[in-house]
Amino acid sequence: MLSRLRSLADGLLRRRRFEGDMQDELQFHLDAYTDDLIRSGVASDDARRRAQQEFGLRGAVEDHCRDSRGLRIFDEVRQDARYALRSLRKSPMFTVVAVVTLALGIGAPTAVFSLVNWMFFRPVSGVTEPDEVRYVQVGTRTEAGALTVSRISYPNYEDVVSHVRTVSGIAGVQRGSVAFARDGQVARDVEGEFVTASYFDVLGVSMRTGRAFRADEDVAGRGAHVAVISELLWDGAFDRAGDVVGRPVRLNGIPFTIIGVAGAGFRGASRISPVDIWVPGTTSPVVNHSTTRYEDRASGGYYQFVARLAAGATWPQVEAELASLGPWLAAQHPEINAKFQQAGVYLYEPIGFGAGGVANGPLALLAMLMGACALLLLLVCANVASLQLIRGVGRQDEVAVRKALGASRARLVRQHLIEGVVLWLIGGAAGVGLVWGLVRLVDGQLVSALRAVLQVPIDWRVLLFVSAVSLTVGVIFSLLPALRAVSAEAADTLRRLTPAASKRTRAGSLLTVAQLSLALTLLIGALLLTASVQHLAATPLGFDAASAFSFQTTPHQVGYRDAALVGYIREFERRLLLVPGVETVGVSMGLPLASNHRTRVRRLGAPPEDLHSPQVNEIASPGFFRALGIPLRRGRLFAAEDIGRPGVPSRPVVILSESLAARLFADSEAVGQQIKIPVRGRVGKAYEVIGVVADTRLTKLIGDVEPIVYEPAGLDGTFQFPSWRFVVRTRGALDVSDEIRSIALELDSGVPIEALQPVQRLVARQHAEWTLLGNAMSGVAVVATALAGLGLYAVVAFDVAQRRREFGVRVAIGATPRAILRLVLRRVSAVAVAGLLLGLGGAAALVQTIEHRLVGVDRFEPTLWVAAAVALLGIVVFAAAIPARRAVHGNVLEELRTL
Amino acid sequence: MVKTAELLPGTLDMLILKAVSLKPLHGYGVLLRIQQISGNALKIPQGSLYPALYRLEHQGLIAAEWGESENKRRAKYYTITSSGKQRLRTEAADWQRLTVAIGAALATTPEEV
Repeated sequence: MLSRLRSLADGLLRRRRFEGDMQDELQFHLDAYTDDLIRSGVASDDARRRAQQEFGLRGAVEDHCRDSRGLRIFDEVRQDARYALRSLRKSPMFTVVAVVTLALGIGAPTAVFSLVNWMFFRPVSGVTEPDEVRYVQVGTRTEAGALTVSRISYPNYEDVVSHVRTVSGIAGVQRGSVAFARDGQVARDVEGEFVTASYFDVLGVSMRTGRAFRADEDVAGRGAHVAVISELLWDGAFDRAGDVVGRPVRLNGIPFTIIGVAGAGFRGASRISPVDIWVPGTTSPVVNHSTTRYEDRASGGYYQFVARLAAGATWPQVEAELASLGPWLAAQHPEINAKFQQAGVYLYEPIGFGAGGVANGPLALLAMLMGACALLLLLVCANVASLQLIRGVGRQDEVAVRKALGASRARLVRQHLIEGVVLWLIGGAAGVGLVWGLVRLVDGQLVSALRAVLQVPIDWRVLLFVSAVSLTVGVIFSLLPALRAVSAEAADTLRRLTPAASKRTRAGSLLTVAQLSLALTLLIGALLLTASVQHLAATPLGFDAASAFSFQTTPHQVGYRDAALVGYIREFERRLLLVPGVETVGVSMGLPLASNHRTRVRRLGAPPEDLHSPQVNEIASPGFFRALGIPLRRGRLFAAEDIGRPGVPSRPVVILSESLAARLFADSEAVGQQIKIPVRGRVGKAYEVIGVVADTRLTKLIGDVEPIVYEPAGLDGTFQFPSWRFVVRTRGALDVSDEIRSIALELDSGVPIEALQPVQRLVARQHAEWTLLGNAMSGVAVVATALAGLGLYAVVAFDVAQRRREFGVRVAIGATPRAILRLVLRRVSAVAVAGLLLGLGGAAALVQTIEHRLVGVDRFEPTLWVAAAVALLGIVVFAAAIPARRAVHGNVLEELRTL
Repeated sequence: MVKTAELLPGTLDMLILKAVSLKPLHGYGVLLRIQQISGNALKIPQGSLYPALYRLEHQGLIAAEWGESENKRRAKYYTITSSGKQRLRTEAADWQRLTVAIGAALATTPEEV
């Protein structure tokens, strides 16, 4: 056996040498025999002829030799494959359409499934036996069914750890982003987790270098300033330096020392929101500049835990033990822990998603996507089958001729089989290319959307499955003509084909109806979304987004309060104004587009029920309105004295947006009037309106324009807002981002600068969600429409092929081409009408679900609906006309001769 | 001229094995050797010789190696392998049994029935 395999492999791999050797050997034989004959007295010409004669047909001998080596079958397969390629090249329309269809059918589901699987179902990196670990939360359920999650303070946590038996370990986890700074660099926000010392043990995370936390580093009131970082942060911030352990960093301005790098790509227990730095939970009051005391049983602590199942325990046992934990905690410290008396709900769920509910959104999306992909695969298989069926009808004659010429049945079947495989191989290769492209494309979108480095791998199992399905369908339907030829006499084939075929046509019609309706539904959805995107792009903003940069700074996070905070903002503003090219600087609490704060205002003297609730924003610099190009309508803008400075409180003045002024004061002049802002206990205090500015979309780009009231920052003398947004207008859109960074570095490198970008990009990013959805829907709609057209074409072409002889007879007895065309189109029209009606129904359902995504366009906008229907009808007519024309212009005489 | 007999199906392989077992031979040499050792009584179809040689090599019963012929040309020499020797032994034994049996059958006289 082994020798056979070796000799076969040898023959296959060193085919050229095999052939050469064989030629040499046979030639040697002929020459030697000829020489012997000559030696025995035969004339040389005669000798040569006789030698050849006795040897037999050399080609046949060679074939037998190859056969002996098991090589012949390979030669024939190669021959068949070459023949298949030739015949596919001869019908390029069929080939291109079939390959594109197959590529879509193989590529799209694989890409979608790979992405979804990677995002939601890949094992959590770096965690040992992730199935044994669950999120645990303690909560109470209100009568209405709402869930309140309770916090477990650090002392209570320690009690729980020593009490529970069904879990081998339990660790508290609290998320929070921290301003991470290395020496000489401006801080940036990094997602972090405050964890108990047992965290890495519970999750079974190994350290790439360094070590995890020790128990004595996580002691309430004395948390050690040590941090573990992810490999990604190690790479990004330290270039994978070997001596990273021991390096100093600052977190929210507090000095920390790196003690380890988590191994195996660990980035926290959630796949969806990765984490890059971990510090002992007991350092959280220091890092967050808060006064929470972790030693205190009544405060501090964790809402969320990860727990690992103890050996031999089961999750129901854990549930039972956890259920007894609330009353037990309450009994330990009756006064402080009274709230746990009622705490009955213990939630635990697999890690991987964020805690607090397995993401229902993603799961629903997943189900929808997979459904769509299954549908797509079905449609693709149906279309490929139809295409091959039509081709089969066209090839009956070819098969009959080949059979008559002596092709063996096995050979005929094999040849068709190989053709199916060749077609599928080409389609499959194109499909893999498509998967790769799609995954990279979506990957890119995700990278920019999530600001995370993703490397989505292609799921080969799915690719294999989808390929197998399409291969099976492709091969079965490519075999049909050959199998028919085998089972029936060639002359009978066509006649036998007809009854079975009409049934298949009916099934094909149903599929076509489904495809047409789906295409129309998606076309309408795509048109509506595209119209929304166009509307968004055309909507005036009310402010000037060009030539302005904005960034966010969070000194509050690093411990700045009151006068220090004001001082920081003021100094930043002053230095920015000194940068050459900077025209104006505006500071506010999050304008544009990062602020959503409502207040309640009333005209002084108006009845209490005449209350309005506009957006409110605190303005920390007089240049704000000029920096964003907001036109002043009446009155004046804030002066430096209005806003105040440390020690000097701001004046009680406000500026209103035009629509708010109109609402409050109707026809009378707003400037100089007084309003009341009943907020933060300042009820009754009056503010003078000093100006009215134009309405803008500073708070949200989509929907109605919101009224806004602008106050000077720190009306009550303090700056308490945690995050401030700067807008810097420059001459000629000069890029000053480097200058901004260096000012931040000089002022305090511990304060992070975030979201530094042109204001225009900020606007574009808000639009991007719509654009992305619109593009995705358009892409799917185009694919669906193409498939529907293809399906229809296949059905009509098959019908026409079936009725060639009928048409021939009709033309012979005087039917006009127009009459034939009408005959063909009559069958199509029923399918088309049914498809259109169903599609309109589907669209009516679809617009309900995407209504909140539609901006500035009615969901039943008639022009768009009609446009979609007309477009689809056009495709129907086009797809039907090609084969119909063939029916009309077919060679009548030839058809009659073959009768 | 000696009267030649047609080769029985299946016997060519055995004859090739026998010929090669005596001495390494090239293809043409195998033809000559079989004719020689059969006393020129067997007619070897030349066209079947090479497919048979390739088949035996494929089965690992003979091995081939390129060498130099008597007239200094490159020629492929076949030698018998150990499994070829074994096959030759069993086939020869089978053939002996067969010929004895058939010979006995054909030699039977009416008296012996």
